[in-house]
Amino acid sequence: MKKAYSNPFPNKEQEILLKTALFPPADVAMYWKEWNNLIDFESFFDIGSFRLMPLVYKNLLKCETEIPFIHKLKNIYLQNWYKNQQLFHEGSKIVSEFELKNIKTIILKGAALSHFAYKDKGVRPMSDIDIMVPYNQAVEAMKLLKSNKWKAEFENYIEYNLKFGRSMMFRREDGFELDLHWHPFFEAQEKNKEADFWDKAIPFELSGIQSQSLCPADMLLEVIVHGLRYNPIPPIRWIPDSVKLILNCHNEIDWDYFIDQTRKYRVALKVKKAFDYLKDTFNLSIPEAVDKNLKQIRISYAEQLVYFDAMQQDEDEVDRFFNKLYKLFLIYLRQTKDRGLIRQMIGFWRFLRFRTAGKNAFAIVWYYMKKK
Amino acid sequence: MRYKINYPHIVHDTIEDETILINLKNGNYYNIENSGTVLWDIIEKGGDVNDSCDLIAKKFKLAPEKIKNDIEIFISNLLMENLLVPLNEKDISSFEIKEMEVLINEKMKKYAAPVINKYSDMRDALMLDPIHEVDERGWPTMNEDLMFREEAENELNPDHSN
Repeated sequence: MKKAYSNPFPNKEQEILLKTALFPPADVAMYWKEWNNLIDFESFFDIGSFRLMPLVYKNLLKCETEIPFIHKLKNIYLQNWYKNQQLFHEGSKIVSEFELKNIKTIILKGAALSHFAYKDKGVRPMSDIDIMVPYNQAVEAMKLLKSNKWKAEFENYIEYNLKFGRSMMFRREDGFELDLHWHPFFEAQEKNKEADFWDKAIPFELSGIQSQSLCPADMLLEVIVHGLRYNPIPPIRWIPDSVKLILNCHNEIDWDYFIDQTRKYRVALKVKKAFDYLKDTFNLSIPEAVDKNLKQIRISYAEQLVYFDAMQQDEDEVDRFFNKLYKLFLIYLRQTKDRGLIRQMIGFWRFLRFRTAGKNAFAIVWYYMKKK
Repeated sequence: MRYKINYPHIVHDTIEDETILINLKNGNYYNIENSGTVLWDIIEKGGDVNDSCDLIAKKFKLAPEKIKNDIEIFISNLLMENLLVPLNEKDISSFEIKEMEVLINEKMKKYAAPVINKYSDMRDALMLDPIHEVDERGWPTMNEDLMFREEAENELNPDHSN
């Protein structure tokens, strides 16, 4: 069965719910009423919207009027608060283990955003904890996890992911999940060398244990780059993540560095589209100089191909051989820093050879023709 | 008598008029209701609970013995669950009686004995659908219909009961 993928930009109902979660108190009761006129809160609605409910609850609490379903919203918040606290606690134990082996850590995504962007431990649902270690310590970190009863979700992919991926998912018998990163996002790879996120990392305490977080500029970049792509779970939470981060860390975002990173990782198109949407729909204030600098970044054909692919829901087409090959080419383009068509073609060939464990040309064609 | 929160094992927050807590050592979840939320706030700030008894009795014109008794039961429950530990005499608190009085006047609108509820079966609570399967008392209490349904299913299929 094919997966149903969802757009990173919200539909009408999701946008109204986002406004309920993010707009000032004077307007949110009206948006909540409007959303309830369109969607039956007590029947089915999409999981992307469900994940916004703790934030919706906290924003609706600021209203002075009576709010329909406020107690049910509180139930969602409380359950999420408990889940998050457990994840923070388990995450802190892993950080301690890594520290004992002198493995540096950066806490990514939900846990860091809860602290820096939302300043609330219960509003941002998380399904796992994301911990980044330096690339050259990733293998050691994985060994340590395995010795602590964590199992890699796709053991066979370790070698491939170390070369072309950004992370590995680990799971424990009791259900806890951990995403062990060595790069914060796919685009942030440079010939497998350690990226520069470590130099700008800031101190962050996870459940009483000292670790680090990406600096706010890198955090914002990670939220947008990771969020703007079709996903089985509607990935609309990049919107509250970005809005809250920009509002609450505005003075700490080094915008010049942000632009440099955007250029370096060839994600300017994603960032431009994200900022245009946030400004138009949520009246978010982005410094004029940032807009101007973004417009001056030349968007390469590779970046355009990768962006338009991330914005398309064309899973039906992937069964066909050439579409499969094209998808693989885009996966390669997303993470390579090779420039020029010839270098990219050579790089892509090496990528395919690695992916198919060194098969020759005919074997590669046959492999992808029969592969489901 | 002064106490302090048993950090780092305890995490807590206050939502509306309810204080929620987790003992991270065992995963138990608690909620504190009624005047307990204000008392928890006083304890966190390092206030003397004996002083709070007098102030509450004065504000609500109640017998100090009754308030003292209620608060003693509440504190003994918190101590029994290792949520608090006694503060040493040498630990100085900057939280003064005047500040405590302001806090009580602002936040305690009526007096009801402080209550702490304990939930230890959190695995099931995490599986609950928070929109449809939670009791009016709020998460993590399962609604009774669901509880009866589960009991009936367990009676019909004893091999599958936990």
